Amino acid sequence: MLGRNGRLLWMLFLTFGFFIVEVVVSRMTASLTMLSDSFHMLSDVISLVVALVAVHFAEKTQGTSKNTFGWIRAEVMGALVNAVFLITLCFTILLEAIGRYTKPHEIENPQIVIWVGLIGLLVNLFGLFLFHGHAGASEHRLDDQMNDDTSLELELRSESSSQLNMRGVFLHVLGDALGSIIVVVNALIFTFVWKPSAPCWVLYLDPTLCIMMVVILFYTTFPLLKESALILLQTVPKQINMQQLDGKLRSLEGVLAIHELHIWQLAGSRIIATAHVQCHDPASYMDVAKRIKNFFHDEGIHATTVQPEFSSDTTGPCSKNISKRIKNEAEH
Amino acid sequence: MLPLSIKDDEYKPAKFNLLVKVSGWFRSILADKTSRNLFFFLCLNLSFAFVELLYGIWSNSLGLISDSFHMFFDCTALLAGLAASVISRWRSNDSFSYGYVRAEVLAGFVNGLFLIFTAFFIFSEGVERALEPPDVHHERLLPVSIAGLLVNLVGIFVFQHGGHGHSHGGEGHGHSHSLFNGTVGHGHDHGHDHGHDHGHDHGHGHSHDHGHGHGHDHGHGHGHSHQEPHCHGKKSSKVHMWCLAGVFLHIVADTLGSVGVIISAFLMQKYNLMIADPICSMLISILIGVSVVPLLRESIGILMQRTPPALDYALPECYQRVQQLQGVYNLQDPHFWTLCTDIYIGTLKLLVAPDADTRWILSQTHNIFTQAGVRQLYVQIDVAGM
Repeated sequence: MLGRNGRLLWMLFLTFGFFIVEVVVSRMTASLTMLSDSFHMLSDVISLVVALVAVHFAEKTQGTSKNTFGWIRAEVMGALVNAVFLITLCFTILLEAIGRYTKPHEIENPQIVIWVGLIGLLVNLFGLFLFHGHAGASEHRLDDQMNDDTSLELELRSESSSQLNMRGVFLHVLGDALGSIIVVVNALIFTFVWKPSAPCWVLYLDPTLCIMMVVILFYTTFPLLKESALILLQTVPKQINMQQLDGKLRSLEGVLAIHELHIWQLAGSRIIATAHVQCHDPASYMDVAKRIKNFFHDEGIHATTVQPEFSSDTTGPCSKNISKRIKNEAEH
Repeated sequence: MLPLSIKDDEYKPAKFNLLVKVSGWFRSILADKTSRNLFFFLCLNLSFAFVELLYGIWSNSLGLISDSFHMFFDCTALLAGLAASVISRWRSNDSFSYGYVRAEVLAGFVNGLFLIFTAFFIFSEGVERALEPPDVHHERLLPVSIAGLLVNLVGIFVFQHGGHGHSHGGEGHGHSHSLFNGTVGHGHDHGHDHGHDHGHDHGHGHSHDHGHGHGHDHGHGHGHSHQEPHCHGKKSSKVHMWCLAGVFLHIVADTLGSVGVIISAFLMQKYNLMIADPICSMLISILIGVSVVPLLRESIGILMQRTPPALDYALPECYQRVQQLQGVYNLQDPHFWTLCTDIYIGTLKLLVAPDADTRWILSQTHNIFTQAGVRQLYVQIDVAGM
């Protein structure tokens, strides 16, 4: 039985080979829908490469002195590159479709297009079948590596994130399947309806269906783009409510005040939090620190750095609001 | 009519909400010099692209239509830079605890990606044209290319001061900028000599595909900005460096393309050199790719949370000094990363003796790292033996 990497590699080669086939066929038959479907395949290839890279780097989590977090962010970057590439392709296809409107072109040999389209559909379904179990498994495995005592809440959260992943995969494959179906439908209509004396609306079908495919592609890509961009912008992860967290932290025993609370997502389910905590004196600090650490663990945040500040500090290191300072520095 | 006063948020109808938002954005754009420039140049580019598109449709020239598409594509790069310069000034809120300053780096990265894709497409077209040389018709493209060249020259002039020219600003800063400027400068000087020695002005893509084309003019914009260090508007240009870097590279790529079309039109009419055309496209695409690499490398470094290159040598020294402080046993888990240009954030854990003076250690550590340039530091104190 093939391991996960093996499956990814096989799918990669299969999809890439098929991409080449579709490009050649689209050149031969001048079918624009086939060309756009081939680009769709290319984007699948890229996302498979990204998945491979991500899996590879996620296992190599040691940091180096230059990359103290290791290469974990590679997955997010790869997703962003994939999304940007797809959107660029969308625009390219859109423009070519508009060009077709001004100069309509007939499809030569539509039978080849039908067959190739059907095979493409099969390849997509095969991919879905291959990865149905894989996507969920990799999420769980990463989470297990990270924490020994998984609380029930954390399990539920990782469940939902893997479900999100599966949903993303499902949408993607659905988009692929629709693309292949559109290609086949287009070629079928062309075969049966086109005669040199036939109405020329058939010629405009190709670019129209192309535009539909572009819309589908865009719709399935945009969430991916948004999510990876948000992570790279150091956003607070969606499942964390800052106000609530802040309130709960302040209500912990021994905590006088919280400054500079920053929570951001490194990649996947690794969340990092930093804060300044004001307490009474150094003696009681260790207990407070333990409580805070446990609190963050319960919330699912395992990499925390908490700096103590003591209430008799008048000239502490945190005498100014850091975020304001960042803003000031950025503006002047 | 715009409402004169907005008191009840809940009762604002949706239309007014949108108007208020949009006018807010406009005000924000016009307030800052860089985004103002970006906005006007974007308008200029857009109108030129529309004119070209309409002219192409009217005269039924596919070359002009696809050239206008290229200009639209450049407009998206400008739009990304503009959006980033506005977004990065928004205040931090509950969802973005650090604010939106990272938007610029992201925009620079995305622009770099666009350029790589452009280079790739040009290369593939060059290959295609080499395999089946098409007929080339130049007559209508020449005036359009000249106009395009003028538009791009305006862009270069406007953004030349903003994109580079800040190789000073303190030791901590000098490194990261000179890394970018240095490698870019190097790449460009190289191309500069190359371009001039061979009298080889990269004529590119014509007629039925892309009269516009892309390429690099090394002797032009970059040579200037490196020889004259700019001292004015230093800080504001530093902040927008990321927005402008990608935009600038894009504009320069276009400029040479226009120049290339003009030159190659001339060459083809006089010497009938058809084969030079695809070779030039391929060379141009390689040049574009090479020139984008420094931008990509630096932005990827920042986005991947890499230790700031400027601090690579300073940090081990700081670690040593901290470990020599009285009461500190060990320094663990240091993480330093760049939020945005020159804003470094760091976290580390100190293992200290039970009787150590925590406050003193904290303030000393902060001093040490502030001298290195890291102002936002989180130091966790773990007391040993507990």
